[in-house]
Amino acid sequence: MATISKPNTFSAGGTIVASEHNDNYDTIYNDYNGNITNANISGSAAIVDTKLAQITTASKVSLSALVTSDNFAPSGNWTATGIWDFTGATLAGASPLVFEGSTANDFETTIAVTDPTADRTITIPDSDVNLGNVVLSTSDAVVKAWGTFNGSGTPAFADSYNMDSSITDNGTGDYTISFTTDFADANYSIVGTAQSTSANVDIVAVKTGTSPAAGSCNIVVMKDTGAVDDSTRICFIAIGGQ
Amino acid sequence: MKAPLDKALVWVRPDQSIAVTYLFEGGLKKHGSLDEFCKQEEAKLRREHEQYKDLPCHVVNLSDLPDATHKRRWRWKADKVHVDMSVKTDVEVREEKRTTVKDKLKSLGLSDEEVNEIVR
Repeated sequence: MATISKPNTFSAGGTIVASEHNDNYDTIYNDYNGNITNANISGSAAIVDTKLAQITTASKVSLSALVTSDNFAPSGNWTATGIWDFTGATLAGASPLVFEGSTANDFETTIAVTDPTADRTITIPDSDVNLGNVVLSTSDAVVKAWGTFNGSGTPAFADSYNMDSSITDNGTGDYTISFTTDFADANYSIVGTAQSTSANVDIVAVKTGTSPAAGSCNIVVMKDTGAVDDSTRICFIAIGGQ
Repeated sequence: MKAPLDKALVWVRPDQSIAVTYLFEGGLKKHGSLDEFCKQEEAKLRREHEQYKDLPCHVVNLSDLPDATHKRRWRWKADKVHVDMSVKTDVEVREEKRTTVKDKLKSLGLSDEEVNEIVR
């Protein structure tokens, strides 16, 4: 609707015709009852917040319509409920999230973000996680490589982690295993077990006369008789800094 | 089961016996191509282990390797891996030595049970 018009004007001494009077009245009546638009509201109208809060069109209030610039910069204490959809939004700054905790005091917990040099993804699992119990994969306390392979015939891993670079078959029960991501040095710890092909017990050891290297290690599988063995199930894990 | 890739590295010792490096998916992902993986893995093993340092290394197709039944008799010959049945495996050599020791102990008058206990 446009601004309210006044179709008929009456002068002093003139005759007021009923239909003209009704026209004037109907114009105001129709516009007032549900047809007021921005054009009817003065730019300087000081509409109070309590009135704005009652706007329920599509259950949303457009923030951009309430501020005079493109940046919405609220301050103070806000209380929010319901579900807020930030899909497509980006939180700016090195530490955009600060948690007060249950007690309002001088201490807060801040989530800080190291300036990324490429797109990164942190995936939150579909399970309960207590960050206080999480050991990060970069920690020296976690296994950095493990594998279970068949040492008989053509070697094949039953399963592995960071061990699937290569296996060199040097001879019966004699293998050089190579890590996909090398350790920082040769001081990592490696242990293994193997299932004997006979009634004996198999032992896995670093081969005599060799030294583990940062990226690989020469191991031997021997029966407790000392005879080398092409075990069909050789297992090992390695822990150390990378 | 993670089976090896189609290429393997064959290290040839002076007596023509060989060591075979089987390559796996993790290394391929790291290096991007099989050729680059072969090159980098060969260099890594040469660098880290004295036993490979000066050995000739050949890239072969896994399908060109003989059946693994006689793997310990594999020898490098005419730019291929062959099976040399005249070669005794280290297990066979060791068993022969055990038999020799057993025979000597028996000749000293020990019972089979005593001999087996000592040799075991």
